[in-house]
Amino acid sequence: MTHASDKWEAAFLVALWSIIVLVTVITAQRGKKYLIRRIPGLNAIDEAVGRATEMGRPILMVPGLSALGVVGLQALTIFSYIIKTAAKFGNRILMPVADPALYTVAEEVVRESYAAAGRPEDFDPTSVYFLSDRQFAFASGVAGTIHREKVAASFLFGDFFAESLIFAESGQQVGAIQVAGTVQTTQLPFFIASCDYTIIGDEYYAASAYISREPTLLGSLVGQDICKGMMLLIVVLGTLALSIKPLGDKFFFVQWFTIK
Amino acid sequence: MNPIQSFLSRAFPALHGGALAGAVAGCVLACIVGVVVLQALPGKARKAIIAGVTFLAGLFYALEFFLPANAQDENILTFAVPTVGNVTNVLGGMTLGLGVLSLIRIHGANVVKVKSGWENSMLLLVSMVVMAVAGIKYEHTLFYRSLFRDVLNSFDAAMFAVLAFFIVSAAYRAFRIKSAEATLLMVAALVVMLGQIPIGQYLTHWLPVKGSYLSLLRLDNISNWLLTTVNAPAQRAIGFGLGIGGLAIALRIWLSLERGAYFEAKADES
Repeated sequence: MTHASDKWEAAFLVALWSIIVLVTVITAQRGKKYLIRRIPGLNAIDEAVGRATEMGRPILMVPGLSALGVVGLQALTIFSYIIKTAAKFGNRILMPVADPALYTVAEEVVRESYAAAGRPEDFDPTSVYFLSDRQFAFASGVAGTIHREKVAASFLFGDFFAESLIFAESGQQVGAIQVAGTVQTTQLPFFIASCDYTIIGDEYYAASAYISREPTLLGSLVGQDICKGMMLLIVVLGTLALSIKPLGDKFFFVQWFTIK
Repeated sequence: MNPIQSFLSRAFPALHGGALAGAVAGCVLACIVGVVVLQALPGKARKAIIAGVTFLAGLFYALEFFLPANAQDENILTFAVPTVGNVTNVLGGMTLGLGVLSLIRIHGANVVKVKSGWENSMLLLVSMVVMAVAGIKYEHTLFYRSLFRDVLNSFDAAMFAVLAFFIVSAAYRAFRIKSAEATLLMVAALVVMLGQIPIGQYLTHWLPVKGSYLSLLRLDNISNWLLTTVNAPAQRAIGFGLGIGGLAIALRIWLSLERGAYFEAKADES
């Protein structure tokens, strides 16, 4: 097991960053206004839904192989917004899921999103379905859905591995507008090559704040940026410390962050 | 054995035979009652219970991480980590049944209503039953191994092989020279590819390997520099951002600060 006592410096940073995020969340809840930059990939959601409406073809949402965790729940938050937008225009949606635990939550989210959009009667229980928890069985099921249904828009958010390119290229083949985002950095090049918009890195976690503009989420996002600034400062200071020969690798700051 | 461990051992002694079966039945009954009570509660009360349980579960892992460990890398809570992990696995296992029900509901309806492609749905249902029976009853037979190794694994391999063709078409689109960024990408990719293959290394093999500025022009050195000095830091930077983003969202979920369909709608019902 890994414990804080194995590396107190890292544990201290985790605790400090947690406090920073909580402080910015509380200040945002108390009315402090925060602005966030434009994220083109998230702006493209409305464009993709509009195009699906014009074409009269379904919208596909895939949470990848995400389990019921932060990545999967974040994907469902983004999908919830897409569904509310799609419900207003009467678009048909499809959501194949690979993880049975996430499937149960996804079904609830879709039902509630239709209710929130004022169209509870439009919810189709067969629109959210469990396919398989085997990677390539799931991939073949999703690729088949893309080709059979000729989806107009495809949203790929969550954990993706080797199957990412199968989904993205299948979408390309049927001419779907595609928006993707994943925390798996090894899959980002495939999405960038095949999708119209790709959400990179921590933009994925910024999505719920960007879409909802909730003060709590905006505050959290600002806290994340402060932590990233601190990380950058540590990298710069570490580089300088290592570059100044008299300090050497025995310097306490370098020692702190050296992997032993 | 620490005080918590000894208390738990006394409170929940190991059971066998009929007592164990009774305890399992009792737990199942308690789960059913729990679900029924949760469904009957108003949204706000249900949210408070879920938030409390989420907080306690998160607190366990946070305390287990932050409490000092002894020389065996254990603290007062480490002994319980496998048990808590088992609870999570059991909850996850129960949802698999719901997933299978979803498959039966959708494909069963396709077969009954003779919808387009009903033959595929029928094949899926038959395959599911055959595989389940083979796995439960004939696990150590050639029949099961053949189904698993010769059929299922071959299908997986075939799907994986499709990737080779998709990589070519994606690479073609990515490397088309249509902007300054695409040109840069194309040149970088070409250099890295040449630096990794023998013919590429042969092109600049006459330059010194090191000890001279000319060695910087060797394709394998440029390729290595691109991978370790340009690509790796960029990947790490993305990783840092993701790590901090993950920490923030984990905090929001742990403290029930998250806003979204699965948190707010339930509370708004009441």
